[in-house]
Amino acid sequence: MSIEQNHIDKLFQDAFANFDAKPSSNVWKGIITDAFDQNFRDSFSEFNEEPSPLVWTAIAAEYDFDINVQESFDEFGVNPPPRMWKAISSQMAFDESLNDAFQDYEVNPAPEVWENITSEAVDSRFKSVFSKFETEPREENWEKIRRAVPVNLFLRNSLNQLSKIAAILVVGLFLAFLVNYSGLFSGTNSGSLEIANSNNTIPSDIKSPPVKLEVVQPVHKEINSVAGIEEDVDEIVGTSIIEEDVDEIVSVDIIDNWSTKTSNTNNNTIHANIASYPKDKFVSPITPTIVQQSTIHSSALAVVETSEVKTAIKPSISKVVPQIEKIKVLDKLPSKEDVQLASANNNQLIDVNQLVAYDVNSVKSKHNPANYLLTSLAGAGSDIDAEMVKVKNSLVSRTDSKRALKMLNYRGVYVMVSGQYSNTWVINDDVKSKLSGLVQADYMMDFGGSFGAGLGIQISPRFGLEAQWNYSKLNQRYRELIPEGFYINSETSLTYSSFPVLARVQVTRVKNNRPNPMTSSLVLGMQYRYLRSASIKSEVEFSDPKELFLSQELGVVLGWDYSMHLNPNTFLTIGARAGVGADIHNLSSLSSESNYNAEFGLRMAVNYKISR
Amino acid sequence: MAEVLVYGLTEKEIIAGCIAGRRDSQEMFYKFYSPKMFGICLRYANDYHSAEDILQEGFIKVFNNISKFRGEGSFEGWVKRIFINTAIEYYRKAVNHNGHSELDRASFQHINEVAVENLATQDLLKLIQKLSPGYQTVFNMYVIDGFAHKEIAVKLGISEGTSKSQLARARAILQKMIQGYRR
Repeated sequence: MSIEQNHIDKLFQDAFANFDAKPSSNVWKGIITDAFDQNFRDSFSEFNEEPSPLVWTAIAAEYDFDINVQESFDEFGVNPPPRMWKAISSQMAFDESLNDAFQDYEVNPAPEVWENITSEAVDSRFKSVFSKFETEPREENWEKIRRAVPVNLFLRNSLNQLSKIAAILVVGLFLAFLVNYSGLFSGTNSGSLEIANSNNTIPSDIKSPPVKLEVVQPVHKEINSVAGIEEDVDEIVGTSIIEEDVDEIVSVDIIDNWSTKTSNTNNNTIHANIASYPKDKFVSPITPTIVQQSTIHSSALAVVETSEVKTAIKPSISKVVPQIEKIKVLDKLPSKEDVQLASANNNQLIDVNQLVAYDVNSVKSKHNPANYLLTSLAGAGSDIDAEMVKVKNSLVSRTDSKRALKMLNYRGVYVMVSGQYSNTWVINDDVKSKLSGLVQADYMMDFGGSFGAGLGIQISPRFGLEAQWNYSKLNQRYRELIPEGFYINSETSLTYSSFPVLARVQVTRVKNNRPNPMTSSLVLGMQYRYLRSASIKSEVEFSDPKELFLSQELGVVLGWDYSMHLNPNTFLTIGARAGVGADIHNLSSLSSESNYNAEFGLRMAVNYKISR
Repeated sequence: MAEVLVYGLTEKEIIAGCIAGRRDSQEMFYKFYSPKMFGICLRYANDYHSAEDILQEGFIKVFNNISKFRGEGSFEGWVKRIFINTAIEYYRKAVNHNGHSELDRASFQHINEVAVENLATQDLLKLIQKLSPGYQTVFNMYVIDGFAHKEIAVKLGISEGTSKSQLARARAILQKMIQGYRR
């Protein structure tokens, strides 16, 4: 140890030789707390206290209970209910079976899954490439096409339309031929005049006028002093009076040839506008007498005397008609009969019942009054000619045939059976499109028909209602135009149950002077149909053709019928029918979707009156 | 304003000329539509010459029937429809002559190794033309021309199921052929 170190040590020893410091009060507290604790420890080190006997009792009791319970359940066993095991075992079995079943379970997905996944790419690639794919063909293709396309293409296209027009004309001409051939409208250029009365009383003393045929030719024009107009004046160049035996007057059907007649005074005759009647229009129960050289309205005539002849000039209508209206029909016309005539120039109806006495001396009561009336009308001057004589409602009622009247005026119920042969059109552009193979197919004329039965009620002689059921067959053919020509490749055939309800309005009575009187009627009404079956003959297969056509159809029917009364109970009806119908739920399909059915046909029905 | 098709003439004017049977209108019509329609013909035909036959037949039908076009819808669609119908008829004739051996012609030629995405139009056309007529027609109608199976069935006179199955087979064959290209 060095001297320096001893020196330092000495310094520290001196500094702390008298050093002291007062400890904190806590130091003392700690010292006395420890002493307190020690005292308690010493006091309780030998501490011992006997517990209460109850304590032991309680402990022993508790102990014994536990021992008892323990001993009691040492051998305790209870079998669980069988269902417990069953449930457990089945659950285990189920789990095991499922486990086994799906342990190696694998299912291949449907082929189309992968196919769809992969084909999408292929499809889209092909589609994208070919949707706009264009390529120029070789030049010679046009040459081949040009040579193959006919030069008269326009004419060829027009033929299609012309053929349709021609078909309509042919049908029209055929019907016109039928009408003319049957004579249904013969002599109707002046209208039809029928004579019939409602109470079937026939004047027994009515005779027919004689038939007078005269050959006249125009000579010169003269001034009609009455009408004040220039007109042709005819000169008689020859006169013949034809008398013939006829059987019975039943009517004046047609008056078709009016002419101004003249005569000279040598034979004391004034022929004023006497009609030349076709002789077959007159029949009389009495052998006619020699023609009387007078006419019913001579007083209405103006006579122009020339150097050679006296000419009877047509009087004016204003002069004649009032006289007509004064006619008193002495031939016992029934006072209440519905006789009506139309005046020629103004279609004014004249009720014969209102006519009063007319130049009795001129009226030959034994002549047919209707004849007189018409003759007078015709004699009324330039305003009247044959074509202007229009007889309203076809009827002047007066007939000699009670039998015919009974037939014609029938009111009551009748039944019918009918058949119809039709040109049918099943217009369905959807089907047509499906049937189109090479090119768009065309509709082609086809025929169908129907038959059925019905019930009618004649409410009045002129008006009746009919309800029918018909089994209808509608056919439609299609054709495709190919370069080599036309050919038919498909046909549709539909059967419907048709229920027309029709109103029948008798328009005119024709030939009511015959043993079998006839009437013509306008028929108009509605028709409901429902589809029974459908078939398509085509190269194209249809799974359910019925779905393609109108299942329920509503349409209109228009027709014209001629009815011939065979006997008081039976009449035969022949007529034409046209009908068109569209979807009952969408009637606009007629135009908007070109989906409708139509037929045009000839119909025949036999009707039997069941009322008395 | 009506769209001018060719030589300053509108579609309507060309159609009117064709209806009237004018040669110049027909030729203009041909020049305008022949590339598009020949594309269709090539798709439906098995070879170039057959496609030309269909093209000629199709145009003849168009000219003969152009007056029947009612102006409803697209005229090009109407023309296209005639060509497709003509092609279908071609298919029918082919089936009648060759029978229904649909898989006979599914032979695969490995032309080159490119993916379907990289196949040229002419290559794809060759693939389509390798299909038998039935598969080819159904594939064309369904995939490219957008017909439904129901329409295809009606047009081809087959059942809807047949149409579906033929399409599936056509796709399978095309896929195999495309795989062949890849290898």
